Amino acid sequence: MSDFTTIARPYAKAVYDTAHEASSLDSWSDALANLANVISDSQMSELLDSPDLGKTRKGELVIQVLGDELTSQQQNLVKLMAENGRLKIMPDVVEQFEVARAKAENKIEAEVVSAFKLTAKQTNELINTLKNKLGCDITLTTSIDESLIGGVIIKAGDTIIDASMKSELDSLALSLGR
Amino acid sequence: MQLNPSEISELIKSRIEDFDHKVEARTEGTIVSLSDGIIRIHGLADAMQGEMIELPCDTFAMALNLERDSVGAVVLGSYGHLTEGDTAKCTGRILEVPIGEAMLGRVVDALGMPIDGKGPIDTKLTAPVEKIAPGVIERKSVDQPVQTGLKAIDAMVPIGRGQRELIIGDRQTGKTAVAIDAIINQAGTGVKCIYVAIGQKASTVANIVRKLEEHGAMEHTTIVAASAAESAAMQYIAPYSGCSMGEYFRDRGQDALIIYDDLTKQAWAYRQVSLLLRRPPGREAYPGDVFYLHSRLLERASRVNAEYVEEFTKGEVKGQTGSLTALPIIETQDGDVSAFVPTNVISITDGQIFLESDLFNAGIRPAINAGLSVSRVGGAAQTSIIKKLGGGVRLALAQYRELAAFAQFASDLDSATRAQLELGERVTELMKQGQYSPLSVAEMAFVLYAANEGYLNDVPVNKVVAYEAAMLADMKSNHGDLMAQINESGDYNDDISTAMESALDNFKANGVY
Repeated sequence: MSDFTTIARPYAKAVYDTAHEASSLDSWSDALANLANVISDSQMSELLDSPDLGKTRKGELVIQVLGDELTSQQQNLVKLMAENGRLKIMPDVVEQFEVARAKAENKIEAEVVSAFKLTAKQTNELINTLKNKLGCDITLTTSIDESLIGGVIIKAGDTIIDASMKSELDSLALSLGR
Repeated sequence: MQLNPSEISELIKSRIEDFDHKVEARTEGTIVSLSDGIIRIHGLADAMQGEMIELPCDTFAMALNLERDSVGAVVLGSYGHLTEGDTAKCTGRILEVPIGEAMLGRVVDALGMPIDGKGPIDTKLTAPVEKIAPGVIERKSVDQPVQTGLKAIDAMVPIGRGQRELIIGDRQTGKTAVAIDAIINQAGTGVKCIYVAIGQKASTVANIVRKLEEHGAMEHTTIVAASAAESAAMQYIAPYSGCSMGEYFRDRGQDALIIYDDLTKQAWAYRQVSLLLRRPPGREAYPGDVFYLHSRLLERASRVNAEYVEEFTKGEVKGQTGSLTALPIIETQDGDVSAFVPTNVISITDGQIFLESDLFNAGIRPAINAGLSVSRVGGAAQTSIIKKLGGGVRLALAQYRELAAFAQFASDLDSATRAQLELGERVTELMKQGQYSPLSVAEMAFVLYAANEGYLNDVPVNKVVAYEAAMLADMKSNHGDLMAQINESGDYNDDISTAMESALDNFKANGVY
């Protein structure tokens, strides 16, 4: 996964700059998501690993699958990455592209894990508080994990705010164990 | 099953009541690779250099390599239970160890946790293991002695409080013995000792603890042990932990003595960590910063002035200087002092005590090579009586070494040369001293006086040791008040000189050995 971050960075930056200049961020976003899906497909992945196919042929294969959905610029990206033997890092490129886009649009995706389902009021309150704290727009995804017993865990990028009953009990156990 | 003293219901209740769990935002990352105790973490964008990183199951790691996309960290302790994909959290704290008076008399590991089975250590303070040494303004020159109780060292290579004196030599030349004797001799002087054992056998450390207990030296000593079985990371940080424990005393206007046994093994441990972190290797495969590794450690041993102490203690301690004296130990291979680490440490320290296997095997113990051993600042700190009397001994030995080589071939020597040789032989014999038997200043003064004033000339060489023992016993029983006077003031004047002369004359006339 993250082993490819460094390699994916220049591609993601170039793609973002191209898309930004052409104001076609949405179209690129869709195309990249499709590409990532195709490349992570197990059959495709096997093909791409195969030594029987030449580098150019692999690029052509990917383009063939998506057919006319790709613009000529997007096709060029695939060809270039195929030539450099970097098709497999497409998911990382997509990830970084989306991060760069979210950053430019001052948005952040936050994930909230709670023990019980949050009411709409609670969700709104959370969004507002996080907005104030992090200073950007929040897209919230929620999930439920009953093992937390109570409270919530909020993850936004690298930052986590752990306000769950479980972690409180864990640290109490640690402090008593000393 | 046995209950711990800390398991009383009331105590547990109060601890639960006082328990304060703060919710705070922390950054989290994922372990992406794990090999030989080195973990690479993705995420943790705002980790600090040297920060403690929390891993699952109460394990901690120390961040050492901050790279663009990952953080390289070294696990402190065992890493068997960690797997790729585990979460790693920043703690926002630099690695810290407990410090304080309660550490004395205890054996702890590199993180300051007790390993002597005597229960938890009641300390309130902690200090970061890595600290910047005091600056120029805060220092004071070295002018008080640390008495090691070894004649050869106190007379020829004196050590001052706040000095860094290297003990260097091959294996089995008595390096540790010198250090342990120095610790034993600090009993009752108020100098607190810290002995840091790095990469040694656990049995050796246990022996040292037992010996110190036997000689009543454990009360003023802390032992920091990172034995050979512990991870390289622990061996690497052990000296810094010990140093922080010693700085507690220095900063509060007291005197402390720290022994790093030995820094060669610490350099090896650091080399291992560095190579596993893929830092480029240099000479002897050590990383580029191996000089800084030792220089930043030894620079923390210093004497600080009263203003520093007053400011540090916020006015609680006034008019007292503090000191941390360091005795680092370096083991050479086959007497090679020009290897990488020995030359580095020689150039950092304020002098060295050079121990030789040839001397050791010839029965001269401590096996100090008087020619190569120097102390660059200790002379200013020597007790005045030892300074006056010790100069002659050093000179006699230097001349003896020069002549001894020639005298091997010459059959006919003039009387002056013969006298010089005979004195040299006797002084060499006189500098021998058993382990765990440190001498007081007065005892040393009498021994040196006897050598300087020719009392040894009519003692056969093989009787010198017996003469010394009998003479000291006689002085103790018949001239106790003179000895007490010397021990108290350390001054040398005509009165004392005459008194010593008459006492020795008396022993010469009546003494038996």
